[in-house]
Amino acid sequence: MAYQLYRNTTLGNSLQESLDELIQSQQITPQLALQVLLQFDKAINCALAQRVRNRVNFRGSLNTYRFCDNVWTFVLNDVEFREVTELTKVDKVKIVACDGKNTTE
Amino acid sequence: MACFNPVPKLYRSVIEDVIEGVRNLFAEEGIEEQVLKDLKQLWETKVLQSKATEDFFRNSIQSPLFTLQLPHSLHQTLQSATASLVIPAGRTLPSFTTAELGTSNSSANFTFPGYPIHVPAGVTLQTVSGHLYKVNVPIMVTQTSGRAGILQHPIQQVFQQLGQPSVVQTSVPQLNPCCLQATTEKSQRIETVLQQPTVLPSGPVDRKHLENATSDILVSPGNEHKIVPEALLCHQESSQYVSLPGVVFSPQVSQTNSNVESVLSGSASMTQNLHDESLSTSPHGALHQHVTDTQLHILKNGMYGCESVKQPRNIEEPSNIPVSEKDSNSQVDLSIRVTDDDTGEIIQVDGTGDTSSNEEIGSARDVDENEFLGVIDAGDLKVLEEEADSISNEDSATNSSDKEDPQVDIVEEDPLNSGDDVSEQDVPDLFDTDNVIVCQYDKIHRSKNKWKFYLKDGVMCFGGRDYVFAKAIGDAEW
Repeated sequence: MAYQLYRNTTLGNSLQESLDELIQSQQITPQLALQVLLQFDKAINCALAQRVRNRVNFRGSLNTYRFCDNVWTFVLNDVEFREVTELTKVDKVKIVACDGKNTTE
Repeated sequence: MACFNPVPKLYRSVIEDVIEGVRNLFAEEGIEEQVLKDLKQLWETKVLQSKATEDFFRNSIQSPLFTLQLPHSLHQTLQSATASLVIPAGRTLPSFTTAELGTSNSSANFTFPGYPIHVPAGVTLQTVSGHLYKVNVPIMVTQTSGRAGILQHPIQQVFQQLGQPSVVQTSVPQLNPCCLQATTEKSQRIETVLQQPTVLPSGPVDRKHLENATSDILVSPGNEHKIVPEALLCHQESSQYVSLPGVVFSPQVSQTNSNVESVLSGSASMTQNLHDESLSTSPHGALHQHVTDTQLHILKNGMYGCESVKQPRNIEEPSNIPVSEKDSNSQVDLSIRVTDDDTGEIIQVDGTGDTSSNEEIGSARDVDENEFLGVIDAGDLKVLEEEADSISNEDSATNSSDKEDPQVDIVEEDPLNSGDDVSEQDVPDLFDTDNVIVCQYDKIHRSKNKWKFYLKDGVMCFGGRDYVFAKAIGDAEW
């Protein structure tokens, strides 16, 4: 089962909102919406694993760290993200990371 | 080839995969294909609106299917806009930047399709009937079937009618709650309020002209700091006070003067009441004050988002009332201060005390006590107040007098041990940020306070913009 981690992204949230609207108008059932989300989980996990190839480096200062249920959550401050093409600086970023070793995709 | 920004292509491919993947599911459930198309459309629209991928639809270009006319005279307006005008049409999604439109000195003609059109701020639209609308806030324009499109009142803020004075001068259009669909929470509240179409007058010219425009207007949900929600909030307040909207909305009225006048007179009578009441002295002052405060609040809300001729008058009113209150209080204050000065020299400061820090409050209580007790020795008064203190020790409002006064103590007590307090704001706010990375970790390494992160398959969202990575390596010091 693929991680449901990516539901809290722009793509995932917009899908959930769209599904909610259809549920509100009773065009689909909540059960069907759940199936759609599961399909989304598979698709996004697969897409990220296979279709994305770029690398990013970053450096910053660690404000907090948390490890619970095999999920790391970090909050970093004053971070620079460096890619080949561009540099992005943010003053605060939250990283949520699931275990990359145990996925059965 | 989106080599420099793989996100739009990736998102599109994910959307396609998901839709294809669930097609069978939908069929099994007996759900129409149209619902699946609606889902896809909604999804794409939301992704588009989110500015996660600015050029989400840039790559596919086909012949335009719309006729939205952008007259040359609005060239300057277009140039000043910074957002691009993206008009999706099913799968063919032409995109035109304002720069392109500006330099070409032309109008883009589009027939209105059955698909939502995202129109950013600064663009002026002209409908088939030839009426012009300047968009102040980004909107989503859709077409609904079977209903005559009627522009909503708030559009007065969203759209400034241009070009045709006779149209401009007409009053605010009639509200039609059926046509106004909004996707934000605020807008949902507004929708219920707008089911009072009798509130605002409408001109016959407007109705005709609006019926020609066969489109409904949706307020873009992505906007957070726009005039429209506030303008609509005016409506919300108006549900309680029917005559108010006439005050707050711009009376650019030439054709429906009589209606507006009646509305204004209704509000005028209300505002007259505000003047007439003397809030502090009359026994009904408290009630009226409450009502008036509410009205003032509404007026202020009305003023905030809307232009109004009545605005100066509205500004006057709130200032009148607090002044009168101040006057009454100040008289009391003066007398009290004299008393305090006399007794101030013998005030002793105790180690324990209550929390009053306001001389006036304490003084007010002194005045009350004097009224009840008549002439009392200072010592007796002190005893009485000590008793009162023990009873109402925690009640700062009924604090004892300044004799025992703890004003100095209060100052000492608050900071006492307050330095040991751990600020509570860290935890809930700390994890609340717009910049989020969702990914998987290969390895997380720590050495003393030096952390190394080996991450993979991540989606990053910085200030609304999305990025992806296959691998990310990071260093941080804790």
